[in-house]
Amino acid sequence: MLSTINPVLKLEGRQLENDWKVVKRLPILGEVGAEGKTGGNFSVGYIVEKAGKQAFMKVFDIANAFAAPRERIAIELQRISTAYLHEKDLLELCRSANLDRIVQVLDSGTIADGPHPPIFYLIFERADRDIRAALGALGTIHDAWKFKYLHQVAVGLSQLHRHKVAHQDLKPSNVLLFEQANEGAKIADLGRASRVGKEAEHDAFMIAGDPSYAPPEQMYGFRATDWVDRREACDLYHLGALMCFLFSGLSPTVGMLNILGQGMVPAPLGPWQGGYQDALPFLTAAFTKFMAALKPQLPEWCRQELFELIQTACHPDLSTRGDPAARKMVGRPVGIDRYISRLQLLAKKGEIQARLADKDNPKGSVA
Amino acid sequence: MKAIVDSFDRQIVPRWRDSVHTIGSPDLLPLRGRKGATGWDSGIEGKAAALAEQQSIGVAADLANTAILERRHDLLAVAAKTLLAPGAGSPRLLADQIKAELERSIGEQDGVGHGHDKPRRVEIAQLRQQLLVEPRNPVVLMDLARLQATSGHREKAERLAWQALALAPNSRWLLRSTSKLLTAHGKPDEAHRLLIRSGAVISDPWLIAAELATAQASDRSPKFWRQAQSFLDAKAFAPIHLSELASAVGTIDVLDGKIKKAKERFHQSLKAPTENALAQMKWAEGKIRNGFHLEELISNNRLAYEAAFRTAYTERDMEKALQLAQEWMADEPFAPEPAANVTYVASLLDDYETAIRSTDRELRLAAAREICILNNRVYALISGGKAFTDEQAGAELTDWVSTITRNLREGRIQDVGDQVHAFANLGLLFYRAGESEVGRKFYEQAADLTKNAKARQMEGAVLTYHAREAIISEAPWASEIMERARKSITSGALPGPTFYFSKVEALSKAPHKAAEILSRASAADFRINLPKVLPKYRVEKTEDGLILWVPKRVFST
Repeated sequence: MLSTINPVLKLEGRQLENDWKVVKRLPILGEVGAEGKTGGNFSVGYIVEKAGKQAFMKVFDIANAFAAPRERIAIELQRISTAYLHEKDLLELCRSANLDRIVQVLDSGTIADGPHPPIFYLIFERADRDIRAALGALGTIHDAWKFKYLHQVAVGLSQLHRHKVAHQDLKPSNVLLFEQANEGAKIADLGRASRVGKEAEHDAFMIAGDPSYAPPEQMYGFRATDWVDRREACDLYHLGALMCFLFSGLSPTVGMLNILGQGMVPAPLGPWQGGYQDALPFLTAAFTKFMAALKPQLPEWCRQELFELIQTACHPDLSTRGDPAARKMVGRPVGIDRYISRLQLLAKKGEIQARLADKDNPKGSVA
Repeated sequence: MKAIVDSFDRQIVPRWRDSVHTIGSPDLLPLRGRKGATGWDSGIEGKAAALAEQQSIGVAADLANTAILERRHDLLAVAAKTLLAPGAGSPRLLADQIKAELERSIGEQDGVGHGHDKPRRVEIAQLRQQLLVEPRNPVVLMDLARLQATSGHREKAERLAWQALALAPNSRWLLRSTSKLLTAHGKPDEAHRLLIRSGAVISDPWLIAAELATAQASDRSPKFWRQAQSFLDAKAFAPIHLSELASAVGTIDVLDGKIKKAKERFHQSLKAPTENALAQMKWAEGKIRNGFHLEELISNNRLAYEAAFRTAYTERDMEKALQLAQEWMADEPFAPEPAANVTYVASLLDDYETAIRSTDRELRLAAAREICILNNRVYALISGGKAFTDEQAGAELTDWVSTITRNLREGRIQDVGDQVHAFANLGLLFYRAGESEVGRKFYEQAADLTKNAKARQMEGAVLTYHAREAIISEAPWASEIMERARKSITSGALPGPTFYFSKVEALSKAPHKAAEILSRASAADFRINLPKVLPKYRVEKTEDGLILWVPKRVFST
């Protein structure tokens, strides 16, 4: 529970370890400008500063634990501290492994100098904005940028997968752009990430991320036992959903369920209480219809390639999701590397297309 | 005229609607429910707050997606303000989706009804397009099969259905739909074989119901009879899952003369009835006494076209029956039964144009045309006079005469009812051609055939139509035939012949008003409003014992 007596909300002006100074609290839900939050671990955002350089601080809201019934307070406190440690560990891993497509953690620590329980925080490099800003812009120049960002996101996922980490909550607001620093796009928020050999509470969640971008198997309550099918295929779906979002504004999950009709929308949104396998033939038909409607909306110069990328990445049947050739290999990988190279190629093609368009239209109004 | 509605053996063969209209129907529901996703948190309020902060297309689109998913029209409207603002540059697909979603009226259900507003060739082209995207999609293949069946391309339809089944051999919807397709194509034995070979049947009451129905249609013993009984006795699943199974078992019990058992099963089928179970109950209604308040159940089920049609037909409200039969035909355009009933009822109303139009599809079938529908069509062509005024219709009639006489001579028509109908049509033709004596002989031959047990119920109809022709042609034997018709009708005829007999009776009294009486406009004059007499007291047997129902007193102020 967030309230004015919550110490988590009263950190402005505080001096932290390693010379960080808390500058400003970002609005919380219910205040103007609140940021979207998902998940059960509510956090509060601050702008912090060190040597003239600003950063973003995520503070874990311990007051949330005290809102629980008395007998659960200890458990909730433990839950929040475990979540903090889980994310911190993952971020340390990313930093030590130099995963440059993941938003870097600059610092972390605890504030434990008052009567309140310790406050955990993580400090991240500060982005200019998130990738949602790229939507709506038309023209080949912008298409080229979209592919560049998508390529960088795919690289980020691949970096995580190489270290046996799956993000599980990739969505437009979790892709941050570092344009001023000329660093492109990076993936943020490992709060719902899963790691082989290190169990986290949210690993048991049916839908770990934002339901609007969730793969159908999660919506219909199916848990694959295999790591690749359960985690990496989910990340790939999110990548495909991001492609779909950037070029159409729609999530394939939403498009698919809307075509499917209310009768088969799964609980708790709709009446359907069947399993994933029961719904799969109808989901596949709805996906096919959605893709047929999407295709003409994709930029003409890259229509077929982009269509195939989205189609294979977001296929509702998770046993076939992914690059078809990669899926036939030992271990049935989803083939994220193949998506990386195709996205890179499309980014290059886009640049060429943009230059050609620029040449034809020297005034620069490329549309 | 021959009516399928009067036939004795209706089976509860599954319905087959396309995938869009199937979604939401009970036969897609899983037997055991699953708990929904817990911990659902899309952060929609946070997204709305973010949009208030940064008015960008991307943030609005993010909110719109979640609002569409969660049916939050209030927040969708908020996102729409940004996305649909002039010059916003929103992607078209998203903008269209938002507009459609906002226009969708609150409480409106999708995925039901049978409306197909696009021409069939457009629908086929769209499905083919989808198959290019996803060639191994069983649902799209099955939808295409349905459209091909509707267009009369039976072989293509069956091939597509088998392809779909090969991709999802245990899908309940595919198994039931294919069994319906094969039965509609006159191959109930093949439909039955398909079901008994499927491993999915033994544990699924919906599939066992289909197995029982197709076994009955193909004169075979059902393989899963015991399993059916055990599911029903144990009430192993929710009532909706057992509705058609109970109905299928009840149907077999009726035909075996076990009326008491049948009544129990039908009672079970009506606990949470499907529209197909209602239609079956309506069929069985005359054979078992019931107190099921069937009409109320039918009126509450908006897909119960067939059941409602049967009700209207029984009440001799032929105008309503025709309208419902047409709706039923739109719901199952590939099946012969609704088409045959539309022709039949339209002809009872002397609306021969409608009767002819509803049989057009049958003409396009290269093979295996439904003889009943073709005979009905020929009857309409002759009765309406089109066969004598339209060159194409005349040629059609000539073809029919040469085919039917050859088939009758060579004994190729198995069904006695079809033989009766063919002879009666020949009688009608000769009467209209001015050869009353020959016409009479053919009608008499038809009447003789109705002595056969399988065609006994047609006697009243044959004599009624014969009487009509005799009166119109002023034949000296008209009153004699009229008397025989009256005797047959009053001894217990079916609703259709009884309705038409009233017309012929009026015609016999005023032959000069033939045009007026034998027209659709006269239907209301011959409708018999059966008083809906509900027993004042009714005893209902339930699992917990007997219930005595006492009528509620209504006080007027």
